[in-house]
Amino acid sequence: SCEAAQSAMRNEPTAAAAVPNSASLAAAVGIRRRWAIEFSLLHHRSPASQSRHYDSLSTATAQLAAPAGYMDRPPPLAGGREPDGALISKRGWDAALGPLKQLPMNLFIMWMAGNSVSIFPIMMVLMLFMRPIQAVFAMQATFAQIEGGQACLQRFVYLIGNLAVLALAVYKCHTMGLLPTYESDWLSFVDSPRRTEVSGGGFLL
Amino acid sequence: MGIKKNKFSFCMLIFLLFLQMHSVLALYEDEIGKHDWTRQFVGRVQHLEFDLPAGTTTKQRSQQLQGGSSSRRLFVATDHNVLAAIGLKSSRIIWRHFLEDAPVNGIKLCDGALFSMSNGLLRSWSTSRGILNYEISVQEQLEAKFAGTLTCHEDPDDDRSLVFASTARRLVAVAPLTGALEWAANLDAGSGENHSEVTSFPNPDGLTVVTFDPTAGKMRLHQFGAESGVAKRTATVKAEWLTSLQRCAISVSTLACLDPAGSVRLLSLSSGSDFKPLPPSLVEQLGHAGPWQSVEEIGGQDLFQLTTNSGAVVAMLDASLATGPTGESLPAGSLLRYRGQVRFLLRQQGDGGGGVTLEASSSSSLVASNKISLSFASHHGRVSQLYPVTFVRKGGSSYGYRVVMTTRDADLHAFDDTGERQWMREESLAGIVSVEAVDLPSADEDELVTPGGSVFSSFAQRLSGQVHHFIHVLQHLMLCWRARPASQADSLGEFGYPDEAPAPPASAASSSGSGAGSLIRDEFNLHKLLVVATKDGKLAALDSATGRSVWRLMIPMPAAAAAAEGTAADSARTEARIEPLAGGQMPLYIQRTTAHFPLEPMATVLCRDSSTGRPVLFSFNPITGIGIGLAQRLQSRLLQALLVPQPSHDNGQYIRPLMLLSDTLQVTLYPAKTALPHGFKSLNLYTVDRDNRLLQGYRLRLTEQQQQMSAISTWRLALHEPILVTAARRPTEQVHSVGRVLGNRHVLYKYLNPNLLAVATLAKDMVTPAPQIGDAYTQITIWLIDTVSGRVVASATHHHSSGPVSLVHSEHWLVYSLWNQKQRRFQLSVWELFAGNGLRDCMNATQPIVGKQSYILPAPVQHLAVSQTERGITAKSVLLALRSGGIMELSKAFLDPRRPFDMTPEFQEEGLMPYHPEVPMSTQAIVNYNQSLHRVEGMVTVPTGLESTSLLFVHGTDLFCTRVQPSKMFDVLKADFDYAFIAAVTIGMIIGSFVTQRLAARKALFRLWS
Repeated sequence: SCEAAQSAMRNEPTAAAAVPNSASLAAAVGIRRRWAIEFSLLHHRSPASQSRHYDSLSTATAQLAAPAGYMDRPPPLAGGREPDGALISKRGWDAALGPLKQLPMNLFIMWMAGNSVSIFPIMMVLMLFMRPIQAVFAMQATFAQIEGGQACLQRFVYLIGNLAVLALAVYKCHTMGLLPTYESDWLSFVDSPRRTEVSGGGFLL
Repeated sequence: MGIKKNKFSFCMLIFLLFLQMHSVLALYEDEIGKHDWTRQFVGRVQHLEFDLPAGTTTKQRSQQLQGGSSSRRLFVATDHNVLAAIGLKSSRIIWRHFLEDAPVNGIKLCDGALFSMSNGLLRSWSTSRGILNYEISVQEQLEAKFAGTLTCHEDPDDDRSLVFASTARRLVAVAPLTGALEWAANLDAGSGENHSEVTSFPNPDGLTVVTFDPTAGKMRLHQFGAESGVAKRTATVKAEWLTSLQRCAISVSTLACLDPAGSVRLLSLSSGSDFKPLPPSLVEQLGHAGPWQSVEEIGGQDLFQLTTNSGAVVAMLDASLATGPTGESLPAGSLLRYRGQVRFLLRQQGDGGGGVTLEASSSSSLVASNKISLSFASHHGRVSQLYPVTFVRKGGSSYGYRVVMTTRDADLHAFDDTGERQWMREESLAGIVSVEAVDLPSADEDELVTPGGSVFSSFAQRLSGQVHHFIHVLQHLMLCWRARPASQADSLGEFGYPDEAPAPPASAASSSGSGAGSLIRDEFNLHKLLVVATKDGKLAALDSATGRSVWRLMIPMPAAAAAAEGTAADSARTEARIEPLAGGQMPLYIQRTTAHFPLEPMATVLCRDSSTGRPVLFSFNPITGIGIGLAQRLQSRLLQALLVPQPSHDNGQYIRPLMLLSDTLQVTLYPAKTALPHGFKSLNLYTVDRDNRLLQGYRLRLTEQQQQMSAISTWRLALHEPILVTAARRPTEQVHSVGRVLGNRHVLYKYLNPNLLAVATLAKDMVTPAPQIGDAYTQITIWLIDTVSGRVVASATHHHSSGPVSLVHSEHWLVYSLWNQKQRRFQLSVWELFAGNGLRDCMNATQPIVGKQSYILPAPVQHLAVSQTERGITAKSVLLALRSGGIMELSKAFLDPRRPFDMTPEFQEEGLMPYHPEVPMSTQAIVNYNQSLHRVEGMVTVPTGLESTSLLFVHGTDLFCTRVQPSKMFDVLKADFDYAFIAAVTIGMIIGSFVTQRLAARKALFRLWS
């Protein structure tokens, strides 16, 4: 059970280090080993050599080999470890490809919604519009995480993905007939031709 | 027992349901008369008979009279070919019949039934209900002219009476009660002469019939006894100088005719064989030698009234030139009538309105001789006919009389023997020729300031406008206050309205008494003034909300000019009066609207002076009916007149000039001092010449100085076929959308040429073989002509078709109705003109794509019109005046050349209906529900301030005005809209949102604390 506790103690800072959060990092630094039980001394004690034991306590530690898994040093702090480049790149790609991965799903939803102009398809189309627009607005925060050598490319892919979702929404509007793309949509803005010639008359008076 | 009881209760239920029948005679009964009104007329009275006989006839009659005095009525036959009974007390139309399109030759009361003669048919009518008793054809074969005469022969000795009805060829004697033919006689007797005119007069033992052949100038006299159809005496008299029997008057033993020189020639019917001139002794006695203007028979016993050219009236007594004639000279403008022993003499001074007195005198003591003065408004003009009647008073001891008269404007008046007017029927309104709707003055100050001025001038203008407004309101209040005591008497005397008009609200009488005070525009500009001109030269304004006449005005004769003096001989023939121009046209022009407040509105009517034939222009204020200046007689004849579409802003008068094109192609402006508005480089005029089957276009060249304007003829189009009707787009029409959206969301652009004229012509059909029986077919050709260039834009021919054709042209479409001779049905055709698919194409399109489609109309149609709205956004409706008396509103969507035979989803998307040959006729589309309108002469639609609504005014023998909403009332909440519910819901939502906001805030606070 002590082993479990120790490993738990060791694991704690590692888990904290995995989160790149400055607050949890500070908490991990503050954790120190508060107590330790010396099992090996209790094992090797005999009644005859009790006093000798106490006398040679300081030398005994130097003579005995450390048991397996024992580390003399306090457990290292994970925050201090150097980040893994490949992992960062992987995570970056995950974030960048998120919108593109949603695209087939969105396509399916939009196909299911149909082309009729009613409240639910309109709401779906609005959602489709809202998400990429929100994502584009929150781009700074997202880009702050993406680091590494491929960051530029990843940011670009992220933008492309959002634009693709937006394009899907526009296309959906088009198929629903909500886009003023035809001549007839602009008909009410066409002025009736001005009368250039005035003519009047009738039967002979 | 139980079954019996059930049956009884069922019968009771049915009975109760029938009792409720009257309440379900119309849809939305509470809306009858709410937005519409009807006024029924009969037209100008030409023949009149009283249902009470002259006071001194047989005993039986006076008994009948005493018994049934409550049903006193008069029977009239009018120029609208209407036979009607009018209550003598109430002026109400008791019954009314529209006879066929042939003049009524006469009506007579005989043996308790009413007889009418028209179109060669003798008809007997029940007097109480107007039921046709029987009908006898007098003519044996069809006669071209509908001449006829009708007399009633009553034998004082026995109660046997006979009705004689005669055309120019045949005379029949009919027993009045049974309708049995007693005898018949042929009048021409195979002479081969073409006698086409006839007149007759009863003599003591029978009848004298005179027929006349105007081409040969031969007259034939026949004298018949009551018992047989063998003429007692027949004589042929030569009268080559006579043009028509209309210039003759017949009495018991004398026929008096006017020759072209205006002198009287007399013929003794009993013995004479030739006309004799007036004896010199009589001429001396009368003091007038002629020339005479007219001769009239005035009440039996060889009494004639002769009128001279100076207007003096002479009564002449002549007993077959044997007993020595006597005569009496009367002052100018007098009318003399005899009823039995009573002599009625009406004297009037001046041109009417100047006091009319009536003297009744009797040789016996039956009627107390008295002299009464009758009050007339001057707008009625002179009294033109006088119909007196005497009757036994209720007690049976004394006699009284009534006088019914028609005035020059065709109104019918009734006076009693104290000189009090009992009623007046505005029959002049049955002859409306042209209509213009005028917006009432607005109480809104927005229109006081004219755009385009500087800040200070606008401010000054606004201030002065407000002051003017305030003064106007004060004046109106003063007038109202002053007119209050007088208005009641006035409304009785002058505005004794006929009863069939809707009951006048209290304010209406006073408003008509004190001018146009209460005439303020309403919120949606639905209340307008309909200014009308009648064919008798009268102007009137009708309130579009109630149908009441707000003002009436006779177009004054222009002052005699020097040029008119030269034609004095012409004017001698007929009394000079105002009449419509050629083809019954009498156009009205609104030259200044009510929008320019301190300046009064101005309208102008263009008419003709009948004596000289010269055009006359008269301007007046369309709101108050007060003339602006004097009537002007133009020196030259006019080809055409055109109201310039915009007012000239130069001198702050805002008058739209009226451009007059004379027959010498000189162009003048009216009023003369106005200038043309800037920006007009050219104006085009076209004339349609019915006689020469010719269309001509003129272009007005405007020089910089505008000192001299002249017109040049630009195009001529000879159609070589009789022109039936024409139709052009209304110049003020607004077109909202320039194209039509197709199912695939492309646009079909409309061909919107504002200068198109649609013309319908008639020609002989050379293609369809003639039918087995009857005449050969005719064909109708519809032409669409650009009136600027004279180019025929489109045309189409309908074979085996004939009129009546009615055309209506609006926006880019044309709808017309015609009669298909082969299929024997009415057809409605529609053309739509499109410029093409692209906007660029349509801008310079010269030749439109024309789509055409025809439909079967299951009812005969008289007139077509189209609804008009302010911005042109609302869908259009075609309004059809049916011969049955209904006005049907038909959505334009039914008349669409794009209606497909095979329906596709694309057409469905566009909202097109599949083609169906029959036009659907539903009773709910009849806008005048059960108020049948007969003899519709025209329909006028006027846009209102509400985009959904247009006013419809129908005129003819009846007047009708209603609101038409082709797309229903999309811009106004319904009357049963639940305001309280909506308000409660809205307020509840607002309160709810506040409360929930509070609750949410509190909850958030608690969560933070916990």
